Amino acid sequence: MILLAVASITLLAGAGLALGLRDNVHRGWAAIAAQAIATGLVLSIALPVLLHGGDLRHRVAWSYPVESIAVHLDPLGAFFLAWSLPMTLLGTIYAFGYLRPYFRTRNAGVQFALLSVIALSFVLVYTLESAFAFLLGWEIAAVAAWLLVVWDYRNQKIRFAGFNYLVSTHIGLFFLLAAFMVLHSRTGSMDFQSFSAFLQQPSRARSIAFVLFVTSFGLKSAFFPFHTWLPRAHSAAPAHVSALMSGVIHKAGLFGLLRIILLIGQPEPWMGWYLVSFSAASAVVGVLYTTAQRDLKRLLGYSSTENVGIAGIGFGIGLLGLAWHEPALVALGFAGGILHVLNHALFKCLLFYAAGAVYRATHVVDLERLGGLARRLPWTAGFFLLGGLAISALPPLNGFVSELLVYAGLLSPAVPAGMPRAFLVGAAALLAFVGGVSALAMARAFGLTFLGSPRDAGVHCEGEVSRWLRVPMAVHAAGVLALGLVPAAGLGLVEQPVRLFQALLPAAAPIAGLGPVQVLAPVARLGLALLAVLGGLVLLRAALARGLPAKRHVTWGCGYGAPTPRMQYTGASFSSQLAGVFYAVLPHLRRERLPEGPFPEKAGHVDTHCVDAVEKRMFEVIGEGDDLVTRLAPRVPVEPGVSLGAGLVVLVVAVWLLLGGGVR
Amino acid sequence: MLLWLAHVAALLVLPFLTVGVVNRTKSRWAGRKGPRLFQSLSDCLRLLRKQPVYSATTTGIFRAGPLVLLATTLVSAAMMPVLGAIAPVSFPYDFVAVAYL
Repeated sequence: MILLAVASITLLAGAGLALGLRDNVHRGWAAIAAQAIATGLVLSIALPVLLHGGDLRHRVAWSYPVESIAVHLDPLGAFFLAWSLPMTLLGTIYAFGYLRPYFRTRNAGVQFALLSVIALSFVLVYTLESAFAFLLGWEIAAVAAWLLVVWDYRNQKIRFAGFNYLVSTHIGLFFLLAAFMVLHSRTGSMDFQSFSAFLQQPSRARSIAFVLFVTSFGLKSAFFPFHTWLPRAHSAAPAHVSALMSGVIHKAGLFGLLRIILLIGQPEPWMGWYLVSFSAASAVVGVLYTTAQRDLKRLLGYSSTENVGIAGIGFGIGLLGLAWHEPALVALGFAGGILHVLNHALFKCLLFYAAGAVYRATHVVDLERLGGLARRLPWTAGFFLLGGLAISALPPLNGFVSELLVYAGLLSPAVPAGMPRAFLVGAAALLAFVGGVSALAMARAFGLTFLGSPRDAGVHCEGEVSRWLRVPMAVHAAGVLALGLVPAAGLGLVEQPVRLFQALLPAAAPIAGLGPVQVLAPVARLGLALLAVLGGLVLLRAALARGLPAKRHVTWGCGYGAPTPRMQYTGASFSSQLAGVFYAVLPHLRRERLPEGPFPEKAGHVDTHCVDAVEKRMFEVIGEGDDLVTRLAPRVPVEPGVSLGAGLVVLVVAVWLLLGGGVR
Repeated sequence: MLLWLAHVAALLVLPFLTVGVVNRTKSRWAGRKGPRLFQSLSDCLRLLRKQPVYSATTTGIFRAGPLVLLATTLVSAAMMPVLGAIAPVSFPYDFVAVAYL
C-alpha cells in the first residue's frame, strides 16, 4: 500500500515538474521518468497479485463526511493496472516525438502533466473501493482526457468535439451517481463491500441499479447507441491521446462493469441477455460505420465501439453462466472478454500510433487523399498492417485468440438447449459477420493509405517518422505477436481474474480456469504451423525463381495510355456495395454538381460523407437537425483562457480532495 | 498414419483431377474430345517457368498475397475432413479457425 501511495506521489511530482520546468524537452523527460518509476512501483505489487492471486486490503482514514475509504487490490484491478500504466508510459514517449514540431512555439508541458494525471487516475480507479473516491478518480480521468483532446483548441471543430465529449462523459457520470445514490439509500454506506450484501439479493432496486450502471459504463466505453461522442473526439485529439483514450482510458468502463458483476454475484438471466444483446448491437453497428469512414482516425474510433461490443458479449456469456451455474460458460465468457480488452488495447493503440505517424508525415488523415505511403513509410505501413490483421481477428495474431474464446462460449454445449442456444448461435453468426466486415474495413483502410499511388499531388510526405514514434509502435507490435503466438501467456494473465468470477458460483467447482486452456492449446500450434508453411512456400518460390529475375514495369492499363491516380479505387467505391445494402443504418451525405450540357465549361464534383445515424437522429430530436451543430459550435468559447482554466481548477480540486482528505 | 498419407495424397491430386474431370465432361457434352485429365497440372508447371513482371506501383504485399493465400489454404485443408470424418489436424471449435483462415 505504501508503494501505491509513493507511486501516486511520484506521478503528481512528475506532473508538477512537467508544468514547472522551463524547457519542453525537460518537461517531457520529467513526465517520462516519473511515469517509469511509478509504473515500476505499481507493477512490483500488481504482478504478484495478478499471477498468484490473493488480494491486498487496507483502510485509509479520510476527512469528515467519508471517514475512511477501502483500498483493495484484487487480481481484476491488478490486471487492469498491469497494462494501463505501461501503455500510458508508451503513450507519453510517443507524445514526446509527436509534439516535437510544436516544442518551439507551444507549451507541451500541459500535455505531459495531464498524461501523468491520467496514470494517477488509473491507480485510483482500479484500487479504491469507496464510491466517493471512485467517483473522484473517474472525474479526474474525464476532465484530464477532455483537456488532452483540446490541445489544438484554436480549431473550432476540435473545440466542439471536446465540448461534445465533456457533455457526454458527464451524462455518464450522472448515471453513475444515480446508481450510487440508489445503493447508498439502501445500504447507508459508500463502500463497495457493503453494496455487495444488498446487490446479492434480487430486488427491483438492484435491477434499476444494474441498468444505470450498464448505461453509465456503456457511455464511458462508447457502446452503441452512446458512441456518438467517440469518433468526433478521436479524430480531433492528437494521436497519442486518441490511442490512450480508445485503448486504455475507456477500458475503465469495462472495469466498472466487471466490478459490478463481481459485487452482484448471483445475477438473473435477463442481465446476461441484456448485456449480450446490447453488446452485439454495438459490435454490428460499430463495424458497419468502420467500413464507410473517410477519416482514418474516425474509422479507428468506430472500430472501438465494435471491439468493446465483442468484449461485452464475452461478459454477457459469463453473466449467463453465473445465472445458470455453468462453470464452463463463466470461464470461457470472462476469459474471452477480459483477454479481448487487453488485446484491443494492444492493437488499437498500435493502429492509432500508426495513423498518427501518417498524420505527422503528411498532415492528412483523409483516406481519399492518401495513397502509396508504403514506400515512404515502410515501418509505419508494416505496423499498421500488423494491427489491421490483428483487429480483424485473423490467426495467428492475438485478436483471434480472444474471439475464439468468445465463440467457444457462444457455441458451448453447456448452454441450455432450446431458445437460449438458438439465440447464442445467432449471436455467434453476428460475430462472424462482424469479423468479416472488420477485415474488409481494415483492408480498405490499409489499401487506400499505403498501397497504390498517391491520390492527391498536394500531399507531401516527409519520410519515415522518428524513433520516438516508432519505439512505442514496436513494443505494441511485439505484444500483438507474443499474445497471438503464445496464447498461454495471455491466458496466464487472465487466469486469476477469471477465478474471481468462478468463485462466485455456489458449488465452488474446482475445475476453475482449465476449460479455456484446453480449447486454446492447439491454437498455438495452428499459428506456428501457418508460419512454417508460409516460410516453406517462400523458400520454395525463391528456389523456383532462381535464374528468372523479376522485371518491374508500369501497370498495364489494358491499352489505355493516360491513366491518372484518380482512376484508382476510392474509399467510397471500396465500400459502396456494403453501404448500399445497409443504407438505413449508414446514411451518406452527398454534395454534387454535375457537368451541364454536352460541352461543360465548369468541372463538376461529387463529395460524399458517411454521417452517424444516431447522432443525426439525436440532433433532429433535440431541435433543428444539422443546423443545431452549426449554431452550437461557434458558441463554444473561442477564448480558451476561461474554459480551460476552469477545467484545470476542477482537476486540481479533485486531486486535492482525494489526496488531501487522506492526509487530513 | 495411412489415413494421413491418403489425406495428403488426395489434397495433392484431387484439385487437378477435379478440374480435369469437369472440363472433360463439358467437352464430351459439347461433342469434343477435350483436354487431358491433368492439363491443369501441365499449365501450372508451364506458368512456373515464366519470368514474372511486377507493376512499379506494387509493394512486397502484392508478392506476398498469393503465398499467404496458399499457406492458409494448405493449413485449412489439413483441418478439413476429406476422407470420412477424420482430419489430420483437429481440435474443438476448429471450424471457427477454418472460417477465419
